[in-house]
Amino acid sequence: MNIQFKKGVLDMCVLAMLRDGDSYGYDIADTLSSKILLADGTVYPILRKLASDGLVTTYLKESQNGPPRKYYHLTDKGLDLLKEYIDDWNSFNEVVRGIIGGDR
Amino acid sequence: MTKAEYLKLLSTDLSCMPYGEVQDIIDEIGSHFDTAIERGKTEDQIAVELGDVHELAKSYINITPNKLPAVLRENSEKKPAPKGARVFVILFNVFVGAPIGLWWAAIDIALVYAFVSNLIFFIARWTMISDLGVYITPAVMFQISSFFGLLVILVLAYFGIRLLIKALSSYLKWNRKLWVKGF
Repeated sequence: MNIQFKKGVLDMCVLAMLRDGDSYGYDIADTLSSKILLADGTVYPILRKLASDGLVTTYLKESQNGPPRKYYHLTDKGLDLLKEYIDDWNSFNEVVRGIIGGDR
Repeated sequence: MTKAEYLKLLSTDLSCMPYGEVQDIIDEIGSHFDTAIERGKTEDQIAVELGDVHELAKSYINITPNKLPAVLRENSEKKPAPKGARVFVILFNVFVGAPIGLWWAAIDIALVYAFVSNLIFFIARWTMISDLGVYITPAVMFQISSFFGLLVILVLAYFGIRLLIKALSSYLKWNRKLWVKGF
């Protein structure tokens, strides 16, 4: 799939994954990369940007074995933005479908 | 590529970023390796799946320029009001600034008043000088000396007022700086 397509929706996908519950980097990277066929690393700079924009917060939590993991939590601001993204995405999708489907 | 090699290349590429941030990123990617190893992947495989290390570094650098000013702005906004400095400003104004300023203004007003009233007397005396007869010489001498007196008062008033305005404006600036930024 076109890499530009993927990049445009990654922020939204990461936020959406965190809506269902807090998660750590590997989990998000693994799930997203297996579904969207991305390099695992792609997710990490995005997580960092989301954190610096205040859309997610981070905290450390002990893991069963090994050092504590950094968990990501969706903030209210992040949730609001996610809803906005989803609305935009849906209406955009509809328009694009109309255009590529040929019904004008 | 091993975990150590991958992280070393990454930190080299990120060397333009602040040390703390690079450390943070290295920790995060390092923990990705650790988790993946726990799940039975080899370091080599993980490195491949993470993607090109230079691309990853570039992505991190690309998000940073926008972030840094934002962080700086946030910090300056979040800085608490300098309470100690504000109390000092209020007390200093009440006990030092206001008394000195008011005295100074009073002296300036007095000088202006002295100049105006003496000028009026000076002119008034000229109008009756022809009636003085034998006293005309001392009267003229008196007028000349009071003319110089007027000049002195005028100069004093001029510099007094100018100094007051200058001092007041820099004093207000100093007050504002203390009020906003603290000591």
